[in-house]
Amino acid sequence: MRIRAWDSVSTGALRAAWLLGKAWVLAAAVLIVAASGASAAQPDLVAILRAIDEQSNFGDFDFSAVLTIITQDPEKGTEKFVVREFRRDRENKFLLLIQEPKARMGEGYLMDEENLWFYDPESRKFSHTSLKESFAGSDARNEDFTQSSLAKDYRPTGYESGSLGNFEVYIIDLEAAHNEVADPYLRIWVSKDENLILKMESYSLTKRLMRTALFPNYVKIGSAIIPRVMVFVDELVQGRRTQITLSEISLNALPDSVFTKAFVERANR
Amino acid sequence: MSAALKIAFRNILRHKVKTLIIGVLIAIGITVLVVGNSLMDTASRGIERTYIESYTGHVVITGRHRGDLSLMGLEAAESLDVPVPVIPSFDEVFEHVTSQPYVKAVNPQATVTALIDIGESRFFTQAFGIDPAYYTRMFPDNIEILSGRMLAPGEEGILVGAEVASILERNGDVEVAPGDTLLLTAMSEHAGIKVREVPVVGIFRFKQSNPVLDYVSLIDITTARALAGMNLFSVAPAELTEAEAALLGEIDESALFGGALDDFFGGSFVEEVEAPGGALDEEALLAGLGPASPESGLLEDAFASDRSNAWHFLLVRLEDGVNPAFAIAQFQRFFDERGIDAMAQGWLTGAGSVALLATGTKTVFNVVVLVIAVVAVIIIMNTLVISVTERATEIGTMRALGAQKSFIRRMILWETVLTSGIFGLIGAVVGLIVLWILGATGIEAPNIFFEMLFGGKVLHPVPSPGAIAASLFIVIAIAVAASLYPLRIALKTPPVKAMQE
Repeated sequence: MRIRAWDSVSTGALRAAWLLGKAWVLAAAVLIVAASGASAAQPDLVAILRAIDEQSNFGDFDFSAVLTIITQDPEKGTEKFVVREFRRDRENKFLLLIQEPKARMGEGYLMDEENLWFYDPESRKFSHTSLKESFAGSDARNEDFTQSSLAKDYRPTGYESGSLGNFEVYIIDLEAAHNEVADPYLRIWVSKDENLILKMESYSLTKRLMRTALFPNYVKIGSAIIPRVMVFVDELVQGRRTQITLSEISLNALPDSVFTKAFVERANR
Repeated sequence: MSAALKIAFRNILRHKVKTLIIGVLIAIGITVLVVGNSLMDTASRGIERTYIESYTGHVVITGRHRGDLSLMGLEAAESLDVPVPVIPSFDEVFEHVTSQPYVKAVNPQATVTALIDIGESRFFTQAFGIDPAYYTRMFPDNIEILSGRMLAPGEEGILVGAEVASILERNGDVEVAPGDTLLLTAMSEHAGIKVREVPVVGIFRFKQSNPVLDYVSLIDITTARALAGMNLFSVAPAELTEAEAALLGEIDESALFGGALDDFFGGSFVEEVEAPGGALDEEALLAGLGPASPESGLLEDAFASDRSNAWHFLLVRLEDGVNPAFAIAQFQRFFDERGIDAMAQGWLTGAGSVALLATGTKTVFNVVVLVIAVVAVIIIMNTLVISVTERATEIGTMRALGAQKSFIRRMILWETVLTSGIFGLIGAVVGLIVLWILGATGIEAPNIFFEMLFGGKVLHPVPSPGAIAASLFIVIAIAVAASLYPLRIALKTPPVKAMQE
């Protein structure tokens, strides 16, 4: 049936927006773990998760960055997107403006509290959908667009010590505390000295590895540390992965006008 | 009349109960076959005729593709990732096809799935991008315009399917009528999100529809091309910086977390950047974004799509009596000779899942018939074995009196053929009566599945002579096959032993 096909269409087309949202959430999730004693023999795992959540929040600061998204696909080859992102989490607003590729330049995704607006620079028209409507039944997850809540969503089920490259790490297993999260099980590699999540594996209900995320570079801005480079490896499709690099990161206050249709239109003049 | 036939006839009358048991089984079997096959044939013929005359023509020419491509688009799961291919060298293809004497009419077409917004209401439609001049020539009588009019050549607008309009009206407090403006949004991985505003020219419905075609609307080809991003198929390869390229290839976690990337990012694993320091200025932000001006090529691309002659399909209607397989082979040979990456296929491919469902169901039905046939063979064989065994003395006596094996064989075969023939005919007559009643009353499709199967809301089955002949043949063949084993038993029994028993 085409109705189902349309669900797929929505899903696929929203993937860009989703991917960017996902990048942000993971950026927020993968923060310094301040509460845990780096050298403690028995780390307080719950405290680690709570600290991640607390420090994932930029509070009243606005956020802006340029995201470079490179997707490798065994069939489609390598694709590159450059996207300018503006966020104001306290008002639940964001704006994504595509800068590259040329064919997609000027395309915008404006989230204004309840509505997600799509902007087509060719026709200079907006099309909208509510978040609830758009993401229900699609692959995108509502929590992809919200703050990290690891301590609320997951409970630690075990840990071990190990190493990853130059880093001594805790490898912590997490189990979903309720069924409203996308990943029933997670395994995270947290560096002991700087308390950063370096790697995250997502598992299905049947404990099948679905995706591996790597965070090989960070940036410290204000009191927060967020990953600057993220690599997401699709464990179901061999050779398929996405890398996201953040640049021009800023927590400077953004004008209110950024989160308006008029700004999107001006950006395309 | 031969002696074997006479004796066979007498035996049938003498063993009335056994004959009746076998006969009733045969009659039921053939009734099921006649009714079932006629139903399937009627549905298949209906779908074929409807599609060829109203939607696909006899031949569907497309760009080369993998997987199933119907008029609705690619039907594979990854259809989002892969754009519907346009027909390469369209002008050359068009000229060749239309110059063939066996081609009656052609209709170039494109397809795109789009969301429709009007007021607070939203629904989707499968939009067929058309040139109204070709469309009406190819399908002069396939739609009924309920309000408004058909698109004029070169006019931008949409003819909304009645079902789509009805759903839009139900979804929100709106009325969809000619003169209204609709916002169409199409999304795809290759082209992103495309939004177009188009006026409603009319509301229509297909005269022969099904639950899939109910969601079709007709739009001008320019809008369809823009929505489908048909101008954006050749994407320049991504240009990567050194840092970006460093992450390509095999991932070495030890290297990644061993400082391999640090040189690209300030020489450290965690670089500290400037903390919040005041507000950003809107003008400065806009300056940093870079304009998507016409000079950037973006709008030129958009206009290029308007000018282009890109089409997803070229539908071909053949002159009466022309074998579609012949035309398909001719077209394909032309494409191959000219190195044009296009494909010519039959109507079934263009019709897609709905028509395939009907043919698939027919296959399932045939498998069920096969299973029934096997069961019937076993039952008939069993009954005949008993019948022959009981008559071992009689057969032995006949053999002792000089009857040859071939005589006995003929006798039993006659018995079988007569039984299955007579009761087969009775079954066929019953089947015809059932079909006549069903044809008069019509079978209403109880749900969407059956609507698609029937090719409409009501099916009026027509007896299929081929189905009746095939059914009779199958039943007689089954009966003859079933008689072989008991015949073997009868012939293996020595006459003396048979007489002693």
